[in-house]
Amino acid sequence: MLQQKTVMMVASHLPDRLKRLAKSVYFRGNHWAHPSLKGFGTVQDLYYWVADDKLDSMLLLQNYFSAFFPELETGTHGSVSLFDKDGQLLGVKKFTVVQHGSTKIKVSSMLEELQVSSSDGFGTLEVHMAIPPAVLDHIQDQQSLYFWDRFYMGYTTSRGQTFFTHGVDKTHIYPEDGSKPIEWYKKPRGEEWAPEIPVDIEDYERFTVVMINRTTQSSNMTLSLSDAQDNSLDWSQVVPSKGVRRFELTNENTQGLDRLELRMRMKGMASEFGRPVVFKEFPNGAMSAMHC
Amino acid sequence: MLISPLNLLSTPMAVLNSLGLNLRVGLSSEDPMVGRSQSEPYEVYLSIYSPEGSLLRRPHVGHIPVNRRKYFDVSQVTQELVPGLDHLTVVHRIPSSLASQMSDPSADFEIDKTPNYSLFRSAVEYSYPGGGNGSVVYETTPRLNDGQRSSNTFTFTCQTVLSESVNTHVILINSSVDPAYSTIVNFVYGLHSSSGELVWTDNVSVGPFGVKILDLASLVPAQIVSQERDPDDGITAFNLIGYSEEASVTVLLVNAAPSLGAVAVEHTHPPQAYIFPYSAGYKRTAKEDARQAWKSILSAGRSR
Repeated sequence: MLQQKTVMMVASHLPDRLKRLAKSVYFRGNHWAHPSLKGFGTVQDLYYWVADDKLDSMLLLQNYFSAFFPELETGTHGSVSLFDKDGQLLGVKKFTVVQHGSTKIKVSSMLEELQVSSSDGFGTLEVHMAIPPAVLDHIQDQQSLYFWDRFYMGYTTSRGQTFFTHGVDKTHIYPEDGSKPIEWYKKPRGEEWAPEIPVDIEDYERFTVVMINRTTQSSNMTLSLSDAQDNSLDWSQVVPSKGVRRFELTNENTQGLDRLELRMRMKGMASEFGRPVVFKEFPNGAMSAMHC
Repeated sequence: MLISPLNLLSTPMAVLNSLGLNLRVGLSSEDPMVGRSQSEPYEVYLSIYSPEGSLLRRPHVGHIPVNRRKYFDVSQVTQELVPGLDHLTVVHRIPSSLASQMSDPSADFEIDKTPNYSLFRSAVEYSYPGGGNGSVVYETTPRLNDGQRSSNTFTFTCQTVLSESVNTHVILINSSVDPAYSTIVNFVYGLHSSSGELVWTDNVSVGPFGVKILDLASLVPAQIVSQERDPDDGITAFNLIGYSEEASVTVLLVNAAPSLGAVAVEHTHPPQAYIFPYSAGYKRTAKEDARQAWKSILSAGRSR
């Protein structure tokens, strides 16, 4: 990590033209995004799911291959792997999706179908949509090409509201030759993130900060909440590999801090872009979510 | 090197008066990527445009001290100037150290090296009075519609849902870093059902420094919405595909449930963000090929 940060720091001081040259030398023979991106395949991420008395998770899986190649036959198939909050596999559901179409999967239904009782009511999931054969044929003139499935995770409330958040990071590389998925990240990187959003805690019934660990080892993550006088409160949790933890902030557990324009900082973030997603619950029952 | 201070750190935002939504923006004086750069204080300006895209005023709206977060109530500032219609605003952060050296923030300024403000985003928040809020973080994309290179749009998303309580509003923002920008955008879009049928196509124009709302519940015929409704949960979902040949448009999806006092907002990703080609140039090729193909398909299938 230190070596990578040093390289990035040096690169940031180079003029643009020299930066491009240095990059091509640094990545010579390897894919610029990740050395394991060889041939063809997809890159998939872990998403947060929740299924409880207030919220359900809704996958509206759009056939994004149709968006890129509308004149090709892009009907395809895939699977959704559901994990508990500790990253342990609960079950897998297969699906098909037609050209230009989408498939809807609700996590509550999936839990029922799989006959899984998850007492925690939340966890992580990963989708893998296969590259359609016609697309694979079409892109053969490329030396290497991977699709990064950046779908939008939907959530529905028991009161009938719907909202979405997008994916932010990468977890697995799925080579199209059928070989085993490759980890995008190995060890946790101990990154820090300072979300831009001010937190006016009185606006919320509950403000939940969700952290996923996309690496192969547990990561100790600490959420710091500070006010304008630099008073702060910290909460720490160990997030298992491929698991998720929630940091729940309320009026009650933030006493001692100002009520307005609080600032968050997440320490021990496992991957560079594995930044928080926040869920907001309001006194009138409304909810929303946002990636930081 | 000459820079435009207003374009160092900015975010175009749509004031959605017609939807009855209040707009606030949350700003930070810290780099979100901790360790990359030191926190510094900023001066905050707000460019307020008329519904027709004319710059009405650019007030200095506040100061953000080091290591702080600040909310700015945009609707409160703009209400007096544009009380009822939808319009564009752009929020700008200028480092206080720079602002103290200039008399006019809109004038170009000479500095040694352009600082790296990538990923310095604004938290754009919509809310119903007395209700919940929804927010999204984004920033002005580099060199947005600067006239120095071709700009266009190709976007797709699944975030379009209609139900008894929820309606998706597609928000189109046509902004630029060039104050002389004058391009009118023709945004062409289509909706596919879950079974892959193209059920609706249309187009809409958005003037320079303008915003437009596509109110899907009003635009899509009720019969189509009804046909596609899932009887289990009452939700009708579509896949949206859209493009423009003229300029880069910022596309946001506002999922509003006014009867519940609830709103949520999310942006879309550019298609380039979906692929890792060995040759980075293929990102542009893939987007261009797709946009051309959709031009042919959506032109042929125009619903009205």
